[in-house]
Amino acid sequence: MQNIYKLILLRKKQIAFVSAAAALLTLIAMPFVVTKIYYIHVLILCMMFSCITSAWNLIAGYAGVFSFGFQALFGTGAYVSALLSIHFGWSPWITMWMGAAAAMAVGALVAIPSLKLKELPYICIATLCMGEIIRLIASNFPELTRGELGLSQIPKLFQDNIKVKSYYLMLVILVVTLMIVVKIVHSPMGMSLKAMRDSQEASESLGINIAGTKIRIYMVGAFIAGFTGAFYAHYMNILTPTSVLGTALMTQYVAMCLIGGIGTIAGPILGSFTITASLELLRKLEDYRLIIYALLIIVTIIFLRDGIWGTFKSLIIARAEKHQNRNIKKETIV
Amino acid sequence: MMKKVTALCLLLTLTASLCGGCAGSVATSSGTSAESTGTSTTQSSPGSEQKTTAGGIIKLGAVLPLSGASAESGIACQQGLELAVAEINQNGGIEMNGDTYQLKLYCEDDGGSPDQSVSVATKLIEMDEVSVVYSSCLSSCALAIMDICDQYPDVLFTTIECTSDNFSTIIAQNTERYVNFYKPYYNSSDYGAAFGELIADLSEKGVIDFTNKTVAYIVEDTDAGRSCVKACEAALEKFCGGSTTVAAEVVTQGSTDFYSQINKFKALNPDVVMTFFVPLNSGVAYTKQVDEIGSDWVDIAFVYPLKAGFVEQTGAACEGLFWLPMQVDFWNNEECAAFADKVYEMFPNAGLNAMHLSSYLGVYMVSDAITQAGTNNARDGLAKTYGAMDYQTINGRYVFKEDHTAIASPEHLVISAAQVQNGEYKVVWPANFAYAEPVAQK
Amino acid sequence: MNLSYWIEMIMSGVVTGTCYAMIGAGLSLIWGTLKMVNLAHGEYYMLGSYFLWTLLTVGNMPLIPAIIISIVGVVIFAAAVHFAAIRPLLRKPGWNMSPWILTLGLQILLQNLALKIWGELYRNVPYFWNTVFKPWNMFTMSGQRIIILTSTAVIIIALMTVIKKTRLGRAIIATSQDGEYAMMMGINIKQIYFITYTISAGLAAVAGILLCPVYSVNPWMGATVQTKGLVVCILGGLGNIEGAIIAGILMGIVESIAVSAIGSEWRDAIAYIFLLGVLYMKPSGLFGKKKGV
Repeated sequence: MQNIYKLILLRKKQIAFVSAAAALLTLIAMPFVVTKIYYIHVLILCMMFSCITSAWNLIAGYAGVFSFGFQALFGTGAYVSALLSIHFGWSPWITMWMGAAAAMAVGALVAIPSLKLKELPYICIATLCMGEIIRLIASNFPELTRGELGLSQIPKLFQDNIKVKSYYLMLVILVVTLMIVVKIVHSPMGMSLKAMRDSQEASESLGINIAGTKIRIYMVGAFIAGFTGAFYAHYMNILTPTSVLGTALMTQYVAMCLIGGIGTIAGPILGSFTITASLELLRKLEDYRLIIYALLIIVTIIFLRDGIWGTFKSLIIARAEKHQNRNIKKETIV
Repeated sequence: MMKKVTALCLLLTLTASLCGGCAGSVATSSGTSAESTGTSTTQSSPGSEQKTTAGGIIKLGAVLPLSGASAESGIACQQGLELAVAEINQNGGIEMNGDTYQLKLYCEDDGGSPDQSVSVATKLIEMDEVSVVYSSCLSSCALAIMDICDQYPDVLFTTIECTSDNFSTIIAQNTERYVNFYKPYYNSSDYGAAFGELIADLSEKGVIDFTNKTVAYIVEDTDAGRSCVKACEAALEKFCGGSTTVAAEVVTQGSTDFYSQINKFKALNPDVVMTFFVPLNSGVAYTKQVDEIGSDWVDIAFVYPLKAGFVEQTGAACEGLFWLPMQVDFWNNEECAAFADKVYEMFPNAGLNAMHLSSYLGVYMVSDAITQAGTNNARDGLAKTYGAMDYQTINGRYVFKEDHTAIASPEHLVISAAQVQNGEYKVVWPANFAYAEPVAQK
Repeated sequence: MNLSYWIEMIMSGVVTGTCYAMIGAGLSLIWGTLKMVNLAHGEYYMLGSYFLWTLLTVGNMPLIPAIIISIVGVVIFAAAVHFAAIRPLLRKPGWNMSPWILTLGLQILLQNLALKIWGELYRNVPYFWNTVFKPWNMFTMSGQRIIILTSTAVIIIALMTVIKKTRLGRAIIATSQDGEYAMMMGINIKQIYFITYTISAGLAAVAGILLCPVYSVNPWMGATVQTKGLVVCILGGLGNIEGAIIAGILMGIVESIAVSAIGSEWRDAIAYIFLLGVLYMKPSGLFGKKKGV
């Protein structure tokens, strides 16, 4: 028994790498196993939310900026890319990058003022308000964005409508996102993020440039979200302010991230897949669908406060450390 | 610690079984069993759960906003569909090519969100294998579904009401692509035209004072609301020689606090105020609040007075109100009143409104088309037959134009206006449908 | 734009504002003491309205008993929720993200339960007092709005008195300033948590009952109120109840002016910009205290 835990502690990185590779291979193989296009669509949504939640996890879980206006970045990427490709006729493959850049700019606009706020609820509500303002702007200029009427006829990415191509594109986006996340977390910036998360004052005294780091992280997260949003626009071909800029989206990614386990790398992905899949599979329950969904969330968070993955991780590590201590004790006694 | 471990295990098992369920139903093609949806009653013929219809079932799907702000409309549509399907099945089912088939209805909720509408429509077609999709009662959702209709040429897509002008514009540009998509209803521009003509007639008769030609609007933030303003302005140009819009207030759907807007209008003093709300409560609130504050303008309402309960909840405040469209005269038309009784019999708590009838007629229209075409496959002829129908109902005559939307005219679907007189609805316009004279408001 | 126009506009704003104030005060109470955000607060507002509607229509009760029983009903329900869900999460005082998710789940649960139990149709509750007054012929004031104004004024004054003058109030203040210290001083924190949570739910229920004749009753009515309540809380300064009250009224007036000057579609945007402007100049809210050191 002790050997397993020793193994886990020592070979954390290898285990993580192998499991990630296994998951990736499963996802690559999925379209060959799954025949119904509907399931491919659900998987695309799962992956999309994984990107959004991973980006938000960077900002909130690692940098500690709990932005509840994050959906505005997703929506900005979507709308900018869609509008540019509709009005100027440029290819979606180009406008996606421009959408992401626009999201980055908006992200900077949002991040800079919110740096003044110190306490968690202030940041949450202020960013929520900023997000809502952006949604209202999109909604109230129907000549430009068609508002709630819906911006439709957005040029598609793949002219032949084969969903599987979009699936693989989304998979690529997800893999790249995760690579970025892992790189940041394991970089010196990641170290300073962990320090900031634990104590802002202490890390300030160590000379870490809090404001600069936060803004940089925010812009990375914004870029990812914006790019994903642009993908969404050209995949669904219809946008409304409520669906890509609204608080319902916020509820989803916050729930997914927290249920999965915030502050971890695998947590948001696990949460995204679990929640998206359950929402779709619960359709059989008709009226009771959302009630069961809500109960699942409540029960999960009461018993697993750090989220599924977070609790799992801390359980294993706690067990491993306990055994390690026991071994040390044994060694010292003998 | 143990509690956490057990909880974790439970949760992982739950997740695994959910995924397992997912994978399980992947292997079999139509693994879903005989689940009925919500409150649908006696339909499926015993034992025949077959993918194809050559066993006695034709499947109809519906994508509707069953939750969220538009749930009122969505559930009304669901009830209308269920009523029709139950009736048809009780009477033996529908005929196709000499055999009779029972109908099975699958209603799914899209929450009023266009991206979910597409997901849900895809699910209905691929998983439940429906032949017909009733594509929502909300224009934004229907437009989203319209975008994928060419990917499923065997399925017939038809909306329930829906007024956006965009359908016409888009379909007219590329009729080939939307060969299986229809909107059996008129457009916002038809609403606007009726509004313009009504005002022109009323001011000619001296019933209303439109000398300044000033209009204020309060509409809800939906496509129906916003496009109606544009349509009304255009119509006033045409029929009244122009108008000045002094205010166009757009409020969230379901809003019930209009004190600020009414106060603002009192300062602006328009001749006419147009209000457009689909939910009844907004209309009731506006009417009560205007009565409280007192006004000098003429109120013309869209949609909400048709909902059951409007007069009861507003009392004397709604006296003299003009409104359109009087789509279904539940009070004075015997056939419509009989339909209302049928709805209440099956759904005692229903919030009766025109959508019950529109969806009910939608099922009958499709079944007639299936019988006529001899097939339930849109590509094989159902779409063409459906599009060529000339269908007389208790509610008007449905004929499709080139752009797959229904004709609005005195001979087809009539848009008539009513007025509340002594607590009752009386149709006062157009002249050949009116049975009462319009009187001055207040 | 004569005087009565301005008075009318301010009065509308004050009426809506007092209700924002009640919701905001309740939220501020919870934030201050339990150090947690209650995203299901709007749902107590909604439940208050639904209980009243049910008692009036199905139960056929006269108005005053129905109101009292509705408020008590919501308070009991909130107590149950507190024991079942909130307590387990409040192990240690201090900020934590899990209450956000918990109350979010609660919000979805209660909204859909209400949808299941009462259906999707908007319900109507008649005005409590069916008259209209025209003071000095300057502006109109319906009986209902007068009731709203006076009731909220009375309740707010009562709340402030309890907070400032009674032992309970002082215990609440102590807990909100420093929970661990309060515990050391012998205050039963768990009891304080319970009391503040239920009082806050009661405030929301009262706001719901007062407003439901004006706004109709439907399962999603809590959501908009919730957002505004949160905004008002922050605007007034975290944990500061008087701040929340003044902020609420101020917000109501700002919104009213925004609608008149610009248009209904920008009403919420103006309110949010107002909040952001205040936060920019004073990051801890209008009356908030600066954090630490």
